[in-house]
Amino acid sequence: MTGSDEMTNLFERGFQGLEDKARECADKFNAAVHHIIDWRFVLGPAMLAIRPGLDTIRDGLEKLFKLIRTAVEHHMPVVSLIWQSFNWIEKVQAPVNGLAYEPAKTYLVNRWEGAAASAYMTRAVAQNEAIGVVATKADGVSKWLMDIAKYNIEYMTELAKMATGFIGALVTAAIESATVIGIPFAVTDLAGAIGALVTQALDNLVGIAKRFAEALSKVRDIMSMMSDGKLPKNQWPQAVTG
Amino acid sequence: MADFKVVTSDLRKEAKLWRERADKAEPVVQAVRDAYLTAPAFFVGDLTTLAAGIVNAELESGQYEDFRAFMEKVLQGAVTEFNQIDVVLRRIADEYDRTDSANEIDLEKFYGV
Repeated sequence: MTGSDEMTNLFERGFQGLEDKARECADKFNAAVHHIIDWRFVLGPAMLAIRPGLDTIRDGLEKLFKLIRTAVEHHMPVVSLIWQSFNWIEKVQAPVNGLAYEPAKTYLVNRWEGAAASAYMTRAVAQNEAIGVVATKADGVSKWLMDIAKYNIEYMTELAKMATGFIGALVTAAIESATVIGIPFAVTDLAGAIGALVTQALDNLVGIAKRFAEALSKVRDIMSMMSDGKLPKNQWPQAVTG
Repeated sequence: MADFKVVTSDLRKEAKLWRERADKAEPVVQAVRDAYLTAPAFFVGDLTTLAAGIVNAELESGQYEDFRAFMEKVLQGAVTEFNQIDVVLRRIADEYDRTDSANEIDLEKFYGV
């Protein structure tokens, strides 16, 4: 099992340079648009062919920016989810297991008999069973959160790939330095490339989102852990009334 | 009744173990309290843009909070019980010392009904 740091690092890798990439894409696109505007009178009727291509590119970029913005907004909260998935093991399950009743710690069982003694033992056993089930539940919720964390990491990897793909396409097209003859072809090529990237990336991201949703919906298993015979009335077993 | 002197010191030792358990359970309650997660913590992706079919995400992430609150309540209950067992065992020990008798413990008086 990877530690919380390791898992956080995997997640962070997706964010590295992500906003820079978005800015670079925007700069490249703006430079392209300026270049085209400078030549608009020479391009003349060719502008009619260029416009839809530019729209496709702009739409693609806006989709990318929107996805990046949401990711950045959710960045730190998701990091806290990764930490909490480990905390349920390290700060809940492990110490709760450490609470388990150990009869061998005292000689009480050997030296105390009668009704009061058996009443005590019954209670001690019930407490012990509750300790066991609570530890198991902590483990269950940790696994669930970790599954969710895994899909977040996958998602960020894919989003980073999408941003890198966009930059690559913009650099290859180099509309900002194309000759007036080359501009219409460059725009068409870039629109095609961006279109294909968007389709592919969104397909992958939607796939991950669906798997995430499926993992999230396993919250039902977590909810069912809220009723347990070892925790009568959904509470810690009472040894002493009041 | 020399036997019961041994028993009462064992009872007090046992009581101390429950007190220690209560002390160890306190930080666990705090850890569960800290495990609170807001809805945006569950997914870095933009669910509304990506997949219209995912409608339950908000609800389901909210259910985590129900579970977390449940665990907090249960563990808080554990701290209470551990402390109460400590008190009861010490009171029983006192009662044994006072009466010098093993069989006259009134269970209701100590554990409640």
